[in-house]
Amino acid sequence: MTTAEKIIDMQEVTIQFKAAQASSRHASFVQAVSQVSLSVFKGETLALVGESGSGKTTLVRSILELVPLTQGTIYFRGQALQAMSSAQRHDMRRRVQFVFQDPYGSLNPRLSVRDIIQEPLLVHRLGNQSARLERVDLMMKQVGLSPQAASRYPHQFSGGQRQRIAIARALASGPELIIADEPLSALDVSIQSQILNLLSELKSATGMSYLLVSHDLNAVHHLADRIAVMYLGRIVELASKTMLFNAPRHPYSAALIQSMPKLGTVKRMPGRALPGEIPSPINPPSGCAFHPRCERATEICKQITPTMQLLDAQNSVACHHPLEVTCSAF
Amino acid sequence: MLGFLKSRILGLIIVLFIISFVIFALIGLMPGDPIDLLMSANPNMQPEDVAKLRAIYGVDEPLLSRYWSWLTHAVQGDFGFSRIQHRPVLDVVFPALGNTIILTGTAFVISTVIAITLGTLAAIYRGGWIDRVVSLIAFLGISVPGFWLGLVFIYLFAVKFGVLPPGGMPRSDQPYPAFAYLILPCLTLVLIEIGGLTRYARSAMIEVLSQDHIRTARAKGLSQYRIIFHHALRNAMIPITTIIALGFGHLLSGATLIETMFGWRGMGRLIYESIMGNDYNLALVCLLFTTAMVLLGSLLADVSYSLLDPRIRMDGEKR
Amino acid sequence: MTAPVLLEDQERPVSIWTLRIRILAQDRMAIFGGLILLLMALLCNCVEAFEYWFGISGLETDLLARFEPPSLSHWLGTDEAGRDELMRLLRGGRVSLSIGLIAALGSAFLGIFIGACAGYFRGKVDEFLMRFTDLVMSMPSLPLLIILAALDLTKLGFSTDFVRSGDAGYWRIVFIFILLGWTGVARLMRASTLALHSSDFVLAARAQGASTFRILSVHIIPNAISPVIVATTLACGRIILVESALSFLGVGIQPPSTSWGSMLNNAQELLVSDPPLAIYPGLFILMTVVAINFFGDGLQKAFNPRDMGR
Repeated sequence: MTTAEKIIDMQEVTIQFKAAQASSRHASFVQAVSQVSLSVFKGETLALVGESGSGKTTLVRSILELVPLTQGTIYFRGQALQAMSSAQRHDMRRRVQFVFQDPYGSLNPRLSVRDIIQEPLLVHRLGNQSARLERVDLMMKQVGLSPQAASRYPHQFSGGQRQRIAIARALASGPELIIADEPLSALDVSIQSQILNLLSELKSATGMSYLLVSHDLNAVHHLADRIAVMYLGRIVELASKTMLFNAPRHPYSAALIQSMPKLGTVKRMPGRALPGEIPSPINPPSGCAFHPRCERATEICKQITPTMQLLDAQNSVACHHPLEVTCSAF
Repeated sequence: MLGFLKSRILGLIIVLFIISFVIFALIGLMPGDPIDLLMSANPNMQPEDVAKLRAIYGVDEPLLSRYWSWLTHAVQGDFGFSRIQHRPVLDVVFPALGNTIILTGTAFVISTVIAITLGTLAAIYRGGWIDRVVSLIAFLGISVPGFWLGLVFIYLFAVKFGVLPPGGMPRSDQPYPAFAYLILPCLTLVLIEIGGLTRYARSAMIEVLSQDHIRTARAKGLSQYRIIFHHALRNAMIPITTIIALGFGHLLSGATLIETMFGWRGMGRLIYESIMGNDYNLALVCLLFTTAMVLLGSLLADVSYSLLDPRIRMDGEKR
Repeated sequence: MTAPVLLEDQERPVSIWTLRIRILAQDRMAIFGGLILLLMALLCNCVEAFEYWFGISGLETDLLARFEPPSLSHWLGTDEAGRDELMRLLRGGRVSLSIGLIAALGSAFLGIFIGACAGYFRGKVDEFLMRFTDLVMSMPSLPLLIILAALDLTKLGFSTDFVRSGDAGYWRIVFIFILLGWTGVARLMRASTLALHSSDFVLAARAQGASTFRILSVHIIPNAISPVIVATTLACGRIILVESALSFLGVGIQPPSTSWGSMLNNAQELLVSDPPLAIYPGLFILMTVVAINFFGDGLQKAFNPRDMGR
C-alpha cells in the first residue's frame, strides 16, 4: 500500500470562514476544518464519516477549489494545487468528478439528460458530436437508465433516477477519482440500496478511486476500504474497514458504530448513547473538541488537542485515551 | 435606528448632488445659449454686467465652473432667478407647490381610500363577480394613456355638456365655482393611479387573508367584520403603509402630464415649462425638489415598515 | 450489471418551456391578448398594401377633403390635412409598436447583462452596480425623458441634417428609453443570479471547470429568464404609454413621422373641430396596452415557479 500512488494528498488543511453576524464588533470565524491530513490512494474507496457540522462537505469541496483553503496544501498526483497552471487545473477537473447530495438541485432543469451528461465532455473538449452522443448512451446504460430517455428532462425522473444521471455525468469523462458527497441521503430508503449497489458495481467494474462522504455507516460498510472519522473539523480516527467496525479506538467512533441499526456481521460494542450535541464550529471547545461529550475525558483532554498517532500502517487515532483493543474483537 | 437614518440621509444628499450635476449638464445641451439665458433671467442686469459676465463665464465656459458657481450659490440658499417669470426661483416654486398639493393631495386621498376598499372587497370575495369587476377596472386603469383619458373627459364635460371648465386655474370671470376647476384633473389622476394601487392592495389583502391565523379566526366563528377589521387589516398595514409613504413622495413630484394639459399651475407644469423654456434655475430647483421628496418618501416607507413589523426592528428594542 | 431501469416508452421529452406554454395556452385572456397583438402588428405592417389596394393615402395631404366623416372610401374619415385617418393610425401603430418592442428588448439585454454581472461576481462589482442602478431609478423619469428627447444634438457634435432626419428622431426615442429602462430587469436578474449562484448544478459546473461565460449562458441565464420575460412584456406596454405622452407633449416623434401619441399632439384643438380624431389614437393605444397586459399577466401565471420541477 505504501508504494501505491496517492491521487489526493491533503496536508494540514485548515478552512475558516467569516461568520455572518449582526454586530461587527468582533469578527467571529467558523472553524470548519482544522489541520486535516488525509490521502486517497489509487483504486481505494476512502469514506469520510461524521455528523452534520463536522466539516466533511467543506473539506471535499476544497479539493476542487470550490471552497478556498485558509492554510495547508492539497496535492493531486503529487502536484500542489496552488502551483498548478490553469491547464493543469483544468485537466484535474476532468480526472476528479463530483456527485452531489441533492438529486433535485444538482441537475440543470433546463437541460436534457443528454446535455447534462455530455457537459464534462463539452467543457473538456473530448470527442466530436457523434463520439459524445455514443458516450452518453454508454454512460446511461452503465448506470441502469434506458438511452431512449436521453431527450427527457430531469423533472420527468424520480429522485433515484436523477441520482443515476448525476453519476452518469460523473463517469462521462473517465475520471480517476469520484468524490460523492452524501449521494444517498436525499433518497428514499428503498432506493438507497439500489444506488448503493450501483456504486458497488461501478467500483468493481472500473477500478476507480472513491472518496465517499456519508453519515450512513451501512453504506460505508458496504463500499469503503478505509474510513476517516471526522469530528468538528478534525480527523479523529483513520482506520481500515475491519478495524473500525470491529475495534474502533476513538470514543466517538465507538459511539457512532454503537448507534447504527443492527448489521449482520458487525459486533455491537457495549456502551451508552452519546449525550449532547455537536458544538458550534464558531466556538469550539478547548483541547480535544470531543471532551464535553466524552466519558473518558480528563484534564489533559481539556487542555491539549490530541494529534494523530500512528497505531500501525493503516490505522491512526487522535485521542489521549484511545479505547483498548480486546482480542475477542477479531 | 439613528445610524441607519444617518447613512440613508447621507446617501440621499449624495444622490441629489449627482442628479443636480447630471441635469445641469443636460439642460446645458438644450437648444439655446446659456449666457443669453442668464442675462434675461435677471431683470436688473445692465449691458456692462453682461460684458462682465461674458468675461467671467465666457461663452464656452466649461461645464464644471458653471455648475460650481450654481452650486456655491445654491447651498447659500440663492437659487437664482427664473428666466420666464423674472422672479427669484423660490418665489415661483412655492405657490406652484401649493397648487400641486391641492391637486395631487386630493387625488391621492381619494384614490388610496378607493383602492384599499376595492382591493379588500376583491380579496374577500375572491373569484366572485366583485373581484372580476374590480380587477377589470384596475386593469383598464393601468393600461389607459392618462392624458387621453383627460382629453375624453374634457370633451365630455367641457365641450359637449359644458358643465365643467376645460382647464386652468380658478378665475373670477367665469361662471364656474372654484372647486369645479379641480374636478377634471383630479378625476383623471385618480383613475390613472387607482389601477396600480388597487391591484397592489388586492394582492396584499389576499396574502394576509390566506394566512393561518385568519383561518383560525374563521374557524373560531368570528364574524367577517371582526376578522377583517381587527385581524387582517393589522397585518395588511405594512403593505398599505408602504403604499401611503411612497405615494406621499409622489405627491409633490406632481402630475407633470396632467397639470400641463389642464393648465393647472403646479410643480409638474412648472417642470415642463421650465425645461422647454430653457429656464435652468427653475428647472433644476423643481427637479431637485421633487427627487428629494420621492427619496424621502421611500425612506419614510422603510422606516414605517420597520416600525410596523416587530421582526425587523432597527434599534433592537422589544415591542 | 443491474437490469436497465426502463421508463414508459410513451413518455416523450417535455421541457419546462413546453409545460409553461401548455399552461399559457389554457389562459383565454392571455391568448385573446396575444391574438389582438398579432392582428395589430399584421395590420400595421401592411399599410402600404392597403393604401395601394384601396387607393387611399395616410401620407398625402388633400386640403379639400379635411375632416370628412367616415365613408366607404375612408372608413374612419379624414384628418385635419385630408389624410385617411385609418391609414394614419396604422402607420402610427407601426412606429409606436416597434418602439415599444425594440426599446423593451434593448432594456432587457442591458438589464440582463448588468444584473447577471452584479449577481455573479458579487462583492465590489455588485455594490457599485447596484448603487448605480439605484441612482438611475431615483431620477425623475418623465422630466428626464423630456429633457433627453428635447436635447439639441448639434451641441454634441452631430450634423444638423442628421439631427433633423426622421430616423434620428426615432432611434433617439428608442435610445433614451433603453438608457433609463434597464433598471427593473437588472434587479430581477441580479436577484435570480444570486439565488442560482449557490445551487448545486451551478456548483457542479464550476467543479467541472466550465468557463464563466458558459456558466452564465447555459446555466444561470436560462434559469433566471422567466421573470425577465414577464417584465419585458409588460415594459412594452409602459413604453408605448410613455412614448405617446412624450409625443403628445411635442418632444417625442416629430412630423413627418407619426406615432399614436403624436397624432394627439394637437388633440385639444381637435376636440372642438372633430372630436373622434382625438379619440381614435388613444383608443388604439388602450386596446394595444390592454392586450399586452393580458398577455403579460398570462405569462406571469404560466411562469410561476411554484408549478415547476418538484
